[in-house]
Amino acid sequence: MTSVNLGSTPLIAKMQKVGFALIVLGALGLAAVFITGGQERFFADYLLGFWFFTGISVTMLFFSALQYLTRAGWSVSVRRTAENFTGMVPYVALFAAPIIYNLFSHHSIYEWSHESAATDHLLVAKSGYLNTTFFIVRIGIYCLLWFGMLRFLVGNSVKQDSNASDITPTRKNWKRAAPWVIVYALSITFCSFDLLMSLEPHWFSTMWGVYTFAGHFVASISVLALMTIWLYKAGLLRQYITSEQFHDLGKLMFAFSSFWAYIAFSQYFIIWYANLPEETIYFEFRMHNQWEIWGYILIVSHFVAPFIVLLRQDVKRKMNFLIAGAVIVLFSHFVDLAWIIIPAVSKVAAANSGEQFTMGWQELTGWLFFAGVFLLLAVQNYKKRSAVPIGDPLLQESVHYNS
Amino acid sequence: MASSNLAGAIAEFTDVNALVHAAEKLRDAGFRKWDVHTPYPVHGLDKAMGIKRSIISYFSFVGMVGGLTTALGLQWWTGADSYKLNIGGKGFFDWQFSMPIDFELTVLGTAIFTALGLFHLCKLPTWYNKYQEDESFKKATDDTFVVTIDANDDRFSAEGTQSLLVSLGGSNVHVVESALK
Repeated sequence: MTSVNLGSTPLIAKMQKVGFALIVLGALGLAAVFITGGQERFFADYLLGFWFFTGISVTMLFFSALQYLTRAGWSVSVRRTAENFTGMVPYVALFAAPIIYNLFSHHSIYEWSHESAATDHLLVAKSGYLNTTFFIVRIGIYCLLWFGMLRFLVGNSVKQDSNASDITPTRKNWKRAAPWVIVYALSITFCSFDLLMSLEPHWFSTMWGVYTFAGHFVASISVLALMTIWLYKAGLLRQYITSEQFHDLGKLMFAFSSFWAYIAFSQYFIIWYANLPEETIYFEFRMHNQWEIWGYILIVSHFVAPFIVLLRQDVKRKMNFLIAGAVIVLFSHFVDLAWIIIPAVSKVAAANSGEQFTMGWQELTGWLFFAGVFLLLAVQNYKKRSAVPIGDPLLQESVHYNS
Repeated sequence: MASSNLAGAIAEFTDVNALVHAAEKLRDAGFRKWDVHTPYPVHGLDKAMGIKRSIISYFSFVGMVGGLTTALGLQWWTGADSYKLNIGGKGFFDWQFSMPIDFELTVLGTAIFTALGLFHLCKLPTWYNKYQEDESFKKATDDTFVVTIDANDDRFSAEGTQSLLVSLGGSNVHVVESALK
């Protein structure tokens, strides 16, 4: 079989245009927030967009690792789509630079990096972990690990394209997928501790890692489903993608939006039951001060709506329903992260300069900017390599797969 | 004409593609009372046989509603109505602590009804099958695909059905006498 390069198709050209437009729009928006909304809000919106798409990019790597780990046949024809959306991974350090810069500014969104942290008993006790040097070192380690994971897994996957008769690269991935999954689990957990949980350094939750993972995973599956559908609707990859792949992506989307709800409730439930002040402060703050509306939206859009939309078996094979489910899930993932980040930073901003804020259009700016970056870097990958792993030994199984 | 204790016709297949093809042909020929026995699940056979989607999910739904109702009812009755207990200052019937029980009993009810529904739809337990003494039929648990067409199917005729099975690529085609009178 010959390689399927989609780099010159109208769909990819369109993606590129949309990507550029989003970057310009997002950058203008971020600049406007910087000027009018204060620095704390600017960095909060930047972090929101940054972590939304970094989380998805890294989780796409995890998706690929998972397929190799289980030697899954169904997913081979869509696996490269996931691998193409990891384009942000090599640049995570670059995009994290403003957040690191922020640690040293007077307007730091991380309370533990303030001078006043030295007089806070709890923050002094936690300073062995929560200090700027170690924070930067950790971000560096995550970037290296993710880059290594990208080079190894996607590298071998692409290497397999050129020679279908020698499956050594695929064998390497089969063998090494398990350690990479562990690397992913630990790095995404600690990175979510560092970037998100430490926004409220007095508070902690032991379910934080799996909670944020659940959101990233279901959002990644949604991006994957959307892109697969767009490719299919544009008449591309039709000999590789069948309704079986849509059905399975639909199942994963359904399962993991329920999983998110299960984990989100478990986290809330444990805190509610124990009723300890240092734990309840997180929900206490978010259940008042006009943040509560977003919590209710989250329950409906991250769980109830996808559950109802994707419950029926035949619906998971219908592209328009899958699009609806995926859009709902991506919106919910955005609200989820916003509900974590914005109230916390609003609190810090109030302490810094007395300016409090609620959710507004401003929160979309960082997301738009990174959506553009995310799309453009995926376009680069589509131009570079085949859009289907044509050399993969399980590709035929994927094409003829029947669930 | 078929004698009164004729069970039906049986055919062996060794090639999975020929089996699926034969199943499609039998489906299109309008047979109703027939079955395919395989040593392992064959993908796409349901479709080839024209089997409609199982109604098992309706059993599951009944179990789900039953489980959830039991959970809510029991917690409300024991905790908030019959014998009120103050536990850690929580409400007598708060949705938060009710949730794990609701979830677990919903899952349990769904699982039990699904399993029982499965047994019912698969006609389990079946103590006797009229083909069970046939040597060809026994191979279905080992290395052969077996097609059986029951004698009480409207389209069944001992000669015609056997020659149809032969024409579809079946080997060792023969009729089976039921041991039961």
